[in-house]
Amino acid sequence: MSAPLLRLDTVSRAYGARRVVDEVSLDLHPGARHALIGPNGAGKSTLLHLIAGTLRPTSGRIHYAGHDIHRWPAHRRARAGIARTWQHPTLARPLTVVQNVLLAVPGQHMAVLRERPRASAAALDALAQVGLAEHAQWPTSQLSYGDQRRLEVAVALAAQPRLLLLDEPSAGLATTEVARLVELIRALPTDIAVLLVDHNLDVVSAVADTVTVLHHGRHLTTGTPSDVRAHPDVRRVYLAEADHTDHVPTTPGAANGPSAAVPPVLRVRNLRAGHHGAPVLTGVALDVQAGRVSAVVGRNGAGKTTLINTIAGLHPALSGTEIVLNDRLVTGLSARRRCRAGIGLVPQGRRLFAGLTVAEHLALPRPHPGRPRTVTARQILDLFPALAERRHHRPHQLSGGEQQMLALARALLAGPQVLLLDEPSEGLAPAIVGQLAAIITGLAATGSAVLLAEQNLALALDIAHDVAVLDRGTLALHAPAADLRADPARLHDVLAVPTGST
Amino acid sequence: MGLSGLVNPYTITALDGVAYGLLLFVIAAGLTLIFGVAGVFSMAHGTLYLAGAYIAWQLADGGWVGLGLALAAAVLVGAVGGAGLAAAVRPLTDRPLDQVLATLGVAYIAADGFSTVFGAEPRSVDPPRALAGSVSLGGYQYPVYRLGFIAVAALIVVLLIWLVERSRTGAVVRAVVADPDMAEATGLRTRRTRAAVLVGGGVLAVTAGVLGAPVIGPAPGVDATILVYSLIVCVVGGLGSIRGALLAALGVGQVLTLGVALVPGAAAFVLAAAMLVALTVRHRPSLAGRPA
Repeated sequence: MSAPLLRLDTVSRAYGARRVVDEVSLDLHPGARHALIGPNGAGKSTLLHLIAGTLRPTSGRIHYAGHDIHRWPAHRRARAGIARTWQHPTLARPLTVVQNVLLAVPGQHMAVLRERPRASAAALDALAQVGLAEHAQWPTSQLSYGDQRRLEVAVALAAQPRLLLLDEPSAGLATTEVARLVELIRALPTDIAVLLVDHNLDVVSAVADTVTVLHHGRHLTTGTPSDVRAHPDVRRVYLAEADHTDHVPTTPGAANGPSAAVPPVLRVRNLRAGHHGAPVLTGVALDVQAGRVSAVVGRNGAGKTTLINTIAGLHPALSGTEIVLNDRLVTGLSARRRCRAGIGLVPQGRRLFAGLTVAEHLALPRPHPGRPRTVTARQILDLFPALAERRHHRPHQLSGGEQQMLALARALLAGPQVLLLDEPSEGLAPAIVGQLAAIITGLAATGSAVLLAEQNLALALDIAHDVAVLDRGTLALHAPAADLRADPARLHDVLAVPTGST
Repeated sequence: MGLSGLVNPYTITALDGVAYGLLLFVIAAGLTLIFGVAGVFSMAHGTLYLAGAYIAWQLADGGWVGLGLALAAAVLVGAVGGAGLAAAVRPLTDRPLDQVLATLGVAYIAADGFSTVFGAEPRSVDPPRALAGSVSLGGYQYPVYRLGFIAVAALIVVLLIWLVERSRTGAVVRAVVADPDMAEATGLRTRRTRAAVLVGGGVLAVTAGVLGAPVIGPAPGVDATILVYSLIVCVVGGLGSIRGALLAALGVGQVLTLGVALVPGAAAFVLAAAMLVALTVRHRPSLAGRPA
């Protein structure tokens, strides 16, 4: 076998005490089709940055084509043949399509205005490779989102790379556009090595011959797509590792369980939201009722956090979105007014206030004067005895479980009518998850409406009354949790996930 | 004896440095909170000090009544100035460069106005008669007003640290600094908090002008000097950090008095070097090769 084109030798990158990439070693041979997958925060993008030179490793070596490049700046690596695309399209929008490509053609440098014929030919060639030749003279800003992503690939190709890094190329693309992207990647010249990060495992299986799984910055396993899929550790940490089958979505709201007659506390209709112009949610409808836990599950990157944040008012909703709390339309309200109106948020990653003590966190929320205060700080401390002993500690001194309890306590003190929980079990030990499950079930039993976005399917099935699956921007399946517990194959069809030990 | 051994020209100068440092703290504490909490880059902060100094010159008559009137006027002018600034930069949210230009423009216009109204020559402001004399410190004469100023400023320091670090108001302010979106989703009034900090910072700066007028009197150019020293204190102390500002202000006070007395040539360099060190060290959270 030939010598590797790229060799990562125990590469690490730390932010303070946190190692985002932890001693990862990896070989990439010329012409390889290699994919990096892993849950959010696994360090995939950081690893691409380390290879491209936009970040430097804290320790370890990076060998590329016989050179140790770990100290090279990004532009030197680019000239040595490492090209990349970005997680969100990074194009010079005032320029035309072909001018964007010309910027990357070697030898063309800054003289974009006086195009050399040879450079122009190379640029048009790169555009033709991605199927954008007929749009060459268009202003970049007029391209659709999918075309912008393909233009990025053309820009990368124009640099005549030996190694192409693709950072989530399928993010935000519609199904047909994803198919075109897969075709494009498969048609790339075989002398270019491709390293790809993507959440869409259909794309990964279609284009990669080798897959590496990262988890919490560590290398978990490397193998063929089917080997990796069968790996027990991968099944454990990564929810959406298998192929999916074409599934006809059931009508949302139709199977809302026995209490469908009770009016919902939170009613969401046609919720649409996007990131950087790319649509993420394309019409979500859901109801949350008092005394019930509704769970939204879905693959990584399906848009669960966007959904929760849009309901809470932290992410802008696109026009047409209807969010109704107790018959009051709250779509146009600020996050503060929604909090006052009765929406409580326990966000992903907890988002505690750095530097504030537990006691100070609990002193911040003030419920709306018109609403009876449902809980007092005293009752909260009875509910979370661990916090009582840590009143004067700051978030970084708390364990993950205590942080989650504090985030929950902060939300509860405002006396919410509906509680939004975003990945509450993330990073928690199983015993703590059990405690959390008991607390959430208890809250629902006392009349709270709970909307839970969870990656942890076992937890969601355990405590939710009904479960909805978020897939491709919309809810693909909506069913009582009891039915899904009895017939886990239905979830398999949409998510193709293992349902845990049972 | 021990005490008289301690008192020499250098310790007297160092005492001046403490007074100077505390004065800078009272001014810069507002500025550092305005930066850290409201995210506003106010170049008109020295102007507020100068306004306070002219108020003192206008109203102080050597008695307690004059000082009281001047302080009342300072609170009013500071609040109006802070609120006006908040309104002026409101459309410039997230455009720091435009905020700098806008507030710098305000500062220039105000400086021109001050010269027109109060004249271009420096004015001296007498302290209240009760505090006018000097007291003997181990054989050296020291102005009573400066000792009084140190006591009052120390009280302000304690109150301010209590307010920011111990009260619920301070917790709200720090929560808005830490995560404005999440603060909003917890039901906090982030906009009102930011405006309140601008008003509070304005009141502090104008009050400092009234109290500090007998030490650094009103004159054209004082606004620029005060602004530069306040910026140094904010940068060295860390934006938004009250304790950091206190330490930095005391340090700058010593450099500007004791430092100038000991090594006149190097004092300015020391200030610049301190800023450089603060900027380069603080913004490198992890050094390459250091174990995490």
